[in-house]
Amino acid sequence: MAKTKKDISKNSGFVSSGTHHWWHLKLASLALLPLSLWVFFNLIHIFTSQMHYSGIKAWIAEPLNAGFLSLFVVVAFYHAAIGGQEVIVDYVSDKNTNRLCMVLYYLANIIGALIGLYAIFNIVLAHS
Amino acid sequence: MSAEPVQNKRPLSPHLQVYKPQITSVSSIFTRFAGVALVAGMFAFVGWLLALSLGWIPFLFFAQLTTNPIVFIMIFGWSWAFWYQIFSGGRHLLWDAGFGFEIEGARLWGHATFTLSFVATALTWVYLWLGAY
Repeated sequence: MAKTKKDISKNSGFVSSGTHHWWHLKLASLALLPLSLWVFFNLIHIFTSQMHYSGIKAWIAEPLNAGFLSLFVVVAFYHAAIGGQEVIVDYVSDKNTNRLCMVLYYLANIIGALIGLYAIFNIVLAHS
Repeated sequence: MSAEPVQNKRPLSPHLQVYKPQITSVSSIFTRFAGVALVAGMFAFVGWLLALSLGWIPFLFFAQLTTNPIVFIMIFGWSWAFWYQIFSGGRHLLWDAGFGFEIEGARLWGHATFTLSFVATALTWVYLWLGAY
């Protein structure tokens, strides 16, 4: 719902729509439910099977594992960005600080996802 | 457009402190704590992936970090935060689908979220401990 001129003059009313944000948060969490469990159990397997450096890299380099791991990294950071954003919305009340925190937080999550993808890509390349 | 908006003196909502903590509110705020912890955990996870891709020296540095008690406590915390987020997130998805809004159900699921997360964390570490020896 758009802000009307009357809303602006009264300093109230909806700022923007949240449906899109909410829906994406739900889609990401739905995807993360199986993805994160898959990563979690594989990490446990890696640590209990005494797999070491080259073994772990070989596991990551398998196409299916590399694919799901990349998907996990992207969706998890997306979920982190739009979910964690709510904390900034709730607790940083100053408008300018809020915007700055938001930009920095999104940037951090994008960098996180890129680091993850870069690492996986590197491992796959080194193994082929 | 840029005229100063008239600040009207609307009442504030009551501050959080006046409410008695209930399982519904406590389980809600812990979802947020767990989520924030897991964001940090994701950075540690991609850091580990990066170390893995860079070579065995960075990898050993990372592996050796886990012997630090503080890092170990963080990893333990992340394992609980993970399970908590799984059960609490699952609960949220059920709510979104329209289930569990009755007061009794909401209380029950609040308690269940904590209990299940504790049990799953305990099982995880028993399994890890058994597997390591």
